[in-house]
Amino acid sequence: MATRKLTRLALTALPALALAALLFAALFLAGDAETDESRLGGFSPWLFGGAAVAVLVLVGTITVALGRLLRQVRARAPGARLASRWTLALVLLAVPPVLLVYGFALRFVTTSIDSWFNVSVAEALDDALALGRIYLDDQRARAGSATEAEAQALAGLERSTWSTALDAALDRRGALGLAVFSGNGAVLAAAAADPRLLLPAAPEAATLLGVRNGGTDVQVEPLGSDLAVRAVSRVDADAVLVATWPLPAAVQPLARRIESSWHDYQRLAFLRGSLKLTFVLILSAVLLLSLLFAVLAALRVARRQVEPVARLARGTQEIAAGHLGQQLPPAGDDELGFLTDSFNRMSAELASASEREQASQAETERQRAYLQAVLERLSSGVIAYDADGRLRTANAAAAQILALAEAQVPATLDALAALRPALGPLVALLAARAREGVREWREELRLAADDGDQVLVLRAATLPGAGASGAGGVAARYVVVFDDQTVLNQAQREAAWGEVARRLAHEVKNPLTPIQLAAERMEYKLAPRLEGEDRALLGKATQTIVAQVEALKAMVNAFGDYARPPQLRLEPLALNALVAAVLDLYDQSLPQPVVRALAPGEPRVRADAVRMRQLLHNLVKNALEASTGDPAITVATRVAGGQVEIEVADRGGGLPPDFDARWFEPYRSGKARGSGLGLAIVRKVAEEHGGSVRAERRDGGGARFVVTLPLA
Amino acid sequence: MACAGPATPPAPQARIAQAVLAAGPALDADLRLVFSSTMLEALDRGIPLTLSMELRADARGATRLIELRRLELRYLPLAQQYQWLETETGTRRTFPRRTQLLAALDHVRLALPAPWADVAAGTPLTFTLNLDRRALPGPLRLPSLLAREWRLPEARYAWPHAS
Repeated sequence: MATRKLTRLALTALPALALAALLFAALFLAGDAETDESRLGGFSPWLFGGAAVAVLVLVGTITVALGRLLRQVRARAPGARLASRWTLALVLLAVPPVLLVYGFALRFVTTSIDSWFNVSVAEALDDALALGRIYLDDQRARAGSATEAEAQALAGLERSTWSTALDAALDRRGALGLAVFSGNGAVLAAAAADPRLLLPAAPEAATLLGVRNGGTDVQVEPLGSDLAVRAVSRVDADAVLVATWPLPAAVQPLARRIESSWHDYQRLAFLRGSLKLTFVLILSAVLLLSLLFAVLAALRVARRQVEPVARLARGTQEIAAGHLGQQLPPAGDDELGFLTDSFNRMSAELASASEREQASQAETERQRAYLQAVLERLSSGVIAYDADGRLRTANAAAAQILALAEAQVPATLDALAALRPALGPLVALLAARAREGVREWREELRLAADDGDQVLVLRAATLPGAGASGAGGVAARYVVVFDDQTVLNQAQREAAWGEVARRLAHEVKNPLTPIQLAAERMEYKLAPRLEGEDRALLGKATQTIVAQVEALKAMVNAFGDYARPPQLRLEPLALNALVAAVLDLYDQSLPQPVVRALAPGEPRVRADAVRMRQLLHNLVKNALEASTGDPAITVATRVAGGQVEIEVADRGGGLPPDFDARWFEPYRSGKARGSGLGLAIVRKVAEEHGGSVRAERRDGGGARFVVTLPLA
Repeated sequence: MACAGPATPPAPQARIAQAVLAAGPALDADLRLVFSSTMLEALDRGIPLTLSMELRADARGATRLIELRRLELRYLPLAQQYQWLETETGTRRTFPRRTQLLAALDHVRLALPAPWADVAAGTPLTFTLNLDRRALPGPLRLPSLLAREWRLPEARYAWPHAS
């Protein structure tokens, strides 16, 4: 981690340090430009090359950074617009002072350079130089004369004595050196008082050419750091004398200063334009680098300053999107750092609260599922509603009791009443109790229905957490638990009838046989003793008693059948064959055969054959008894949805207007004859086999009774 | 009638017409140097012009020899002399007129160290010459990179050494 930080720091600091070094070098170069000192002069191409590279790198970096910033602004990235404003403000703050300094520097440099040049100074220097030249011309003339004299003296001597003559002349004239050269530059003789002239240099060819033509060449030349006069004079046709004459020692420094000052001034005058150009180039390079660096620094500073804000904005967006618990990196110890710490604490608390809420929701969901499971498994209907009549809850048993498909349960009590008008009294009762603010109540309610009245027993209470009248701004809620008492009542009645049947079978059937036997014995004993009308009366009375006893026996047997406990012998039965066998018994005795519309194939049921025959006989007999006019009876079987239906239809008087489920109870018959147990037995047998029976009116008159049984 | 535009100063030129490794050993080179008027004006105003010369012997498998010389041309205003100075050897020549100095540049003879006497025949030799900008005064170094009148092209001459 520390290595990464150091690397990052180095990557950040090194370019800035390199740029700073470049700028300082450029400034030193500017200082160096006005002197001949070559401290950085050799590096100027490298410096400007480095500056060009730095400019390219800066321009590239700025372009990339600006492009990224523009893309972020277009994408509305958090903090991008703020960063662009910061950048613009920083650039606006940085650029004008730099430009101002640049302008002043240029102005200062050009005026300063121009101020170096003064006409009087130039004239003074030229005058000094001219004066020096006049002095040197005088010295040259003297040296020329002396040299010519020595050359002429040498011309009159033998060459072998020239060396001796030169030595003598050197001492006599005070020359620094004397040398005689041949035409091809060879030294013929030489004498020197100055060690630097021990090896004298031959005159230039042009000089020799001029001297041979008779003249004397005299020049002032440097000798080391001093000036000396060098004169060349013809000795003879093949020899020249080269004499080096000193200048006075007091003159030497003056001559050096005059020459140096004139040099400097002339050089500066010549370099004035170059100097200005150099300063302009250096300052422009510094300006360009400074501006680019300022822009880049503005971008970096803006990004660094805005980054915590951008992170906060992004974190806020994440939290708004539901991603709680976002933690931002520390942003220092300033106000932004405090804000970031506060955000982190808030985010953590939100995440904790969210977790608690989720746990609470999960617990609530578990409780709701538990309650739902309980409600769904209750045989009692449960509905919850509020004071505004909105249905909050209705379990499956409620829908079943109220004869609604579960998906049909509406949202309001009013909609419930509209959907099933028969439930109007129930809805009215619930609304009334809600208005009255009764906290708990219990009532029995009878609802009219097509197949008989439905008795509901209701128990209601106000739910906790809400006032009875919706106090506290929360609408009151009520829960109603109800049971369908109708089935219970029917079972109670059936149990009562079963008890009646058993008592009849036990208390009535047993005396009937003695009564019948006593009547027959009485007729047997008394009939021979009577005559005429008395005997006929006795016989008629006896027959009446016997007939009524038989009728009572039949009725008691019927009750016995109804009350018989369901000891079934269930076995797979071919239903069509069973129906056909029963109908065959009636075909011989009826004016027209029963119409058979049996289902194709052989539907099979698991049933007790005896009880099923009893069921069929009762249905056929019921139809025959109802068919007073048209004796057409139709018996059909059909398979539908895993069940088989047995339908017995007649064209009799049809069902009475008040026909309902009670007509399947004992002693409910619309016919003059009959025990009133036929349909009750049919329903009892059907229910013993897991089926049901229903009665319908036929189009065109008559009725049909349909028994539904499960297929085997 | 032709309308003449502003006169463009002639660009400086440098060419080595011939170079020979002579006995001595020494290098004899015939140069064709044309200085711009700006350069000549600079010379007259006391700014020395330094020519950098390099002689190179690139012998495969043999010792490579390189000789660097600088020739400084300078004007002495008080003496009114133009000075030729070989900075490495101290060889100094003076000319009363600039034309003489420039004429002297047509033929350059550089005395060489002894190892150059052993250069084998056929050894490829290269002699290059250019203006030493580092020797220019500070204010001129940068403009000399940009200004046409200061761009003296490098002259190069290559030949195999003949014994």
